[in-house]
Amino acid sequence: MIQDKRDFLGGMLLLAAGSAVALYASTHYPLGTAQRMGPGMFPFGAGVIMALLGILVIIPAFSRRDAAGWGKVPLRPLVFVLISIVCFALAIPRFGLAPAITILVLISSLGDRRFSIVNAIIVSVVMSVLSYIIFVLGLNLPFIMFRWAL
Amino acid sequence: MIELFGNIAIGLETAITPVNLLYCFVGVFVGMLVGVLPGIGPLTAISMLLPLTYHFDPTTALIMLGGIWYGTAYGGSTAAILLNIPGTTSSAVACLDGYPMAQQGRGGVALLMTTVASFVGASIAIVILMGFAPVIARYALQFGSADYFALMVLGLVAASAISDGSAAKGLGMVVLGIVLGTFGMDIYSGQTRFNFGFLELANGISLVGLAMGLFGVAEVVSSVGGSDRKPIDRSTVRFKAMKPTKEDLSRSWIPILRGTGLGSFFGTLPGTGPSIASFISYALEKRLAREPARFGKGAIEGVVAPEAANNAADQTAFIPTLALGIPGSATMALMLGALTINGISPGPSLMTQQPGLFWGLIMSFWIGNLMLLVLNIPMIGFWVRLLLVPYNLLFPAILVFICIGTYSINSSSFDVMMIVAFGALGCLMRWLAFPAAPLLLGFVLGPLMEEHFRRAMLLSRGDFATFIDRPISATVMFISALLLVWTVVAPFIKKKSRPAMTGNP
Repeated sequence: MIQDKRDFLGGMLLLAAGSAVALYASTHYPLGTAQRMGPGMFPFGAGVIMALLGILVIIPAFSRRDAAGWGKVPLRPLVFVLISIVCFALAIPRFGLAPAITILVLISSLGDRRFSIVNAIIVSVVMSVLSYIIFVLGLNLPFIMFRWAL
Repeated sequence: MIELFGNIAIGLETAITPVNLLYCFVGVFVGMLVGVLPGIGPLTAISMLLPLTYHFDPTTALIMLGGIWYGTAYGGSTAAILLNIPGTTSSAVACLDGYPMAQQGRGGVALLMTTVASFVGASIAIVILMGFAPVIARYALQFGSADYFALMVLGLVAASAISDGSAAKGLGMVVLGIVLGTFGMDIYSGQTRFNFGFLELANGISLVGLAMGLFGVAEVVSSVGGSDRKPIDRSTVRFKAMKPTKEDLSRSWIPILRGTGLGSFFGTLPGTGPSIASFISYALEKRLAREPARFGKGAIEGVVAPEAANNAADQTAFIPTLALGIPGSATMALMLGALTINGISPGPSLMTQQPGLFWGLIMSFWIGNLMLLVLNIPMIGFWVRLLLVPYNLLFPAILVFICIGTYSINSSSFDVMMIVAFGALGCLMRWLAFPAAPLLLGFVLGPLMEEHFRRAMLLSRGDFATFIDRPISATVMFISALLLVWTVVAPFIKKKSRPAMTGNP
């Protein structure tokens, strides 16, 4: 009977990731010998240790009484924040810095329940001006504020 | 002695150039800001400014990042005392007696005394740093690869064993970090590992993307939608209300010195650092006090001693990082990253090869601490107002700096996408309660460990006994093994007693 579902899942993921690393390293890169190690040896060893640690996380999960429960990660901010960064990465080479900042601020602000379009627009204008001053004028970085290159 | 004065002169020469003074100020100001604002920690702030170091001289970069690091210790106590919200983990202790003091209308006194305690603690610790680092570095010049590998193992074991929660999870994250550190070119054979067809991964995973995602994004995500701040009684933080009584002063000075001693010691050890130093210092003061019942109800000793301890630890944490090139905490690992980004290999020879950098950085600590003293006391009204900025305006701004900073390094959208990947990983880890700091430490130390491990094995002709034949390596390995056994066994012994410390979030 699994008492602590959180640690059981965490340990399983660690076990799976470690095994995958060990398997991938040993099949794709030469291991070499103990004296002359190949590029695969160190990652292979690390993968094996990681898998063993995964098992060490799993074992107590069967008997633990006072399971602490899942860590707090609110879903709505997570989704909007990650999407906003993806959009920033896609927008900046095509439209320049100012539009990318605006998109980032607008989408990420949606992650908060108290979203207000006026606030979001103010923040994006302020941040665009501030970034221009800090990065372009202050640090002389080659940023283009606006462009159109689809 | 003459050598020391010469070094101080070199350091001052470097530290007081206008550029370095400016960025020292930027560093401590940002540090103060970040310390005051709950929801961004020093790790996030340092990773946010890490991209700038690509465009700076390494000395300037380190002076700025260092300023953030010890600046947060000052700022953290402000939020803790006035709002009962610890701005950083190491200032959580300041809530215990600082907030009751603020409720009694003595918030101004508490703020002034913590600032003084911080300054005293930091100053003494800088002297210790100046005295010990060169000695340790000279001794370390005879270390071989096996010794270095052993020291890194100890650092990583200690960091994950002492961090809260399960040691197996901490160690698991260290190893995950080491694995992520092997991505990219293998220095011995030139073979590219784990690039999965992405050209961008040929040089490995970027430290900036990893740190920004793991700490910045994950922290923003879990802070959004938090509760609003409580109002503050501003009259208690006016200048007049700050004057401590004679009794405050006579109660404080010995605890400040004790705190400094404890902090300086714990700062140098791997895995402990400022948070643990401040907790232990609080516990010690309570134990030594004539009337322990006053603690938790606004005892000034309970505020000043831990503050002195965490500031002292902040400074002495640089000893292993600068003298050996082995960081004891994730923040120090980022500092080390800033050095390697600039092509400087950290280690005992740093001090002789780059005296300007080493002594300049140390002298900048003095200057920065003086700046903080000035920033803190007259500007307290400004910091208080800042505490009231709502997080829903703040977090998009933090994200903007994270994204622009990362993009500015190579003008690469791929790097920005790495933030998304590590942000998602960071959130998954938070959800499953895996600590993130050991992962970063493993990531930075991983490549160094592999290099030393393989070199040691090459020299010993493949004999693993090399790690227990050499006295230094053997001692260090033995300590690591003890620590490892203790952390595995301890949970089973402690099972029935209450959880001891819940310091880290």
